[in-house]
Amino acid sequence: MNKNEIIERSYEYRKLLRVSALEMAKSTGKAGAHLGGSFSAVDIIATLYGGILNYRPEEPDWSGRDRFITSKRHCYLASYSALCLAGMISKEQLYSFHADGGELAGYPWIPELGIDFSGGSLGMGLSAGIGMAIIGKKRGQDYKVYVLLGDGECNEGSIWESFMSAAKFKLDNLIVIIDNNHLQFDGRDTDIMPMGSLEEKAVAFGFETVAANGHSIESLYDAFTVSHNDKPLAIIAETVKGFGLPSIEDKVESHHTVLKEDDYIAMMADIEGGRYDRV
Amino acid sequence: MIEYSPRNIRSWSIMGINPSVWSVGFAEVAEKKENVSVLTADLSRFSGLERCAAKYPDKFYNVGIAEQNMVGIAAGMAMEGVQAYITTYAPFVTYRCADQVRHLMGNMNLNIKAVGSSAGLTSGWSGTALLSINDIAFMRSIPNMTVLSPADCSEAIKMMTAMSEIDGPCYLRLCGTTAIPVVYKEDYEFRIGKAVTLQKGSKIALIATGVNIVDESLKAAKSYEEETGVKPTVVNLHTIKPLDRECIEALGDTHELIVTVEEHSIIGGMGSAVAEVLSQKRGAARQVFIGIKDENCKMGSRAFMLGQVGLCAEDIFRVIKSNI
Repeated sequence: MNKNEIIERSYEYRKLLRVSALEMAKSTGKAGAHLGGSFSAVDIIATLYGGILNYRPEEPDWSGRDRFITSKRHCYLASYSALCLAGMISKEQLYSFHADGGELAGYPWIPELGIDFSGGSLGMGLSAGIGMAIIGKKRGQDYKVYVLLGDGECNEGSIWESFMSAAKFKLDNLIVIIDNNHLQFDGRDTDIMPMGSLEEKAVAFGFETVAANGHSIESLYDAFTVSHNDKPLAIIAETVKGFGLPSIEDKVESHHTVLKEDDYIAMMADIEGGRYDRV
Repeated sequence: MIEYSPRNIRSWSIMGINPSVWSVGFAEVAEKKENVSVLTADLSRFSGLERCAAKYPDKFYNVGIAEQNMVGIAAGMAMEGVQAYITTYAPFVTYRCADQVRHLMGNMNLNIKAVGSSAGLTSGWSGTALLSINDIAFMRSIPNMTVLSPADCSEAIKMMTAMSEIDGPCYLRLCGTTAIPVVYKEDYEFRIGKAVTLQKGSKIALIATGVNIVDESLKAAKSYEEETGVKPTVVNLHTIKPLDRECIEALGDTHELIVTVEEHSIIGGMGSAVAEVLSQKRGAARQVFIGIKDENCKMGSRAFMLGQVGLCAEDIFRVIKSNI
């Protein structure tokens, strides 16, 4: 796909993923779901599945596929929706995410369904991605490894152990995306644990680093296509937690909550009204 | 092929447990398997890995003093079909990165082999921070984990090659450094999960695990036989998980007293694993635990440490006498 086609498809995906994520959230009823982190990451995921990731829908565990690790698994409404949209899982499998004993309940590792990691215990995914990237290079395979981190997740010391090692192993096949929504479970990042500049940190750890608007397909596309010879790439994607859901947008309550009818209506109206269209 | 000749067995014992595992055991694995990696957290010199790293540079990764990242990288490699060995001091390859071990090795059931050196009380001179007397309790409670505890160098080498045939997580617990007492003077049949009866006796069964401990238990049994004429059974329970239930149940049926001996906290260790079997069995023999009590130790040489906590032959002998 050329640039225009990828961007076109990513725009299509960002709308369809939103619809699907809303329906998934709705299906959880009073239990609620991780709306905040799903809607901060939804455009990142739309761009990845829209054409940045190399994958085969008919063969999700194809050995040449690009790996995608959702280390912050709080984006499952969007990432599972992407698997369904891309044709790697069925609708039935998608909705098993919130069924007792369901196939996708508990965020398991199932490469056969396009799920490359079991995220959730924060701070582990980047290390795993580094292991995959090392082996890819060693075997001369040209797949890339994409790892999605939350900014809150970057409080974990193990994240910085990983950052340290990625440059040592010269992993130019590794792309880290930080969903920088500035909110974590208990509050604003600056109140809970001020992290300073993630960009400067990534540079200091030997990454090629680029800032992006995490809700702009074009900006994300540009970031994903930055050249990073001999170095891993870090994309600091500025996002808004619960983006597009008026009652919880950029609010700490968005982390895990019940989807309000008004928010559902507002986002559906926005989708239909062209807010997420390409201009 | 590794030759388990009396001569080699003697030289491994002198060379020490870590070099035996890596220079002999892993070398055999690396010759047979292309898809293996070894990762260390800045402990290759101590672990006896240097020769191995020099011989297989493309299989060797030093991740610095960052154990959590080490397990994570190993997980990524394992997800790509590589058998990944991780090694550092026992406390750091187990509880330092406990959540990675629990989730990546246990829940995800990945093909990662954790090799912990200086387990138990081995690091007596290095301080309490380096003791590893709770690792069996932790590791055996992790789903899918195989837990191995060799009695001497040749057993450790056999374990290294045997666990390479398992497609899942394993923990190899290495106590001691050099001058390792020899339990097996010649070749023998080793199978993961199959306890070895070193001597068959009656009334008393000593179930022991680990370097020095199995050896001390054999000596204690000998003293007891010399004094009383009753020869205790001595079993080397080298695999703590999966447990040889059949062997333990049979011992519980045929003996009056079971004594478990381990260089580990008496809470949750091998003795507890044995008790989990015996307690289910109607009329099984009474069990006495020998291990490290739930209190802090003073620091010193290996001999001092083992003596302090009551893991020497004479201590074991006394426990048998006072309980029969």
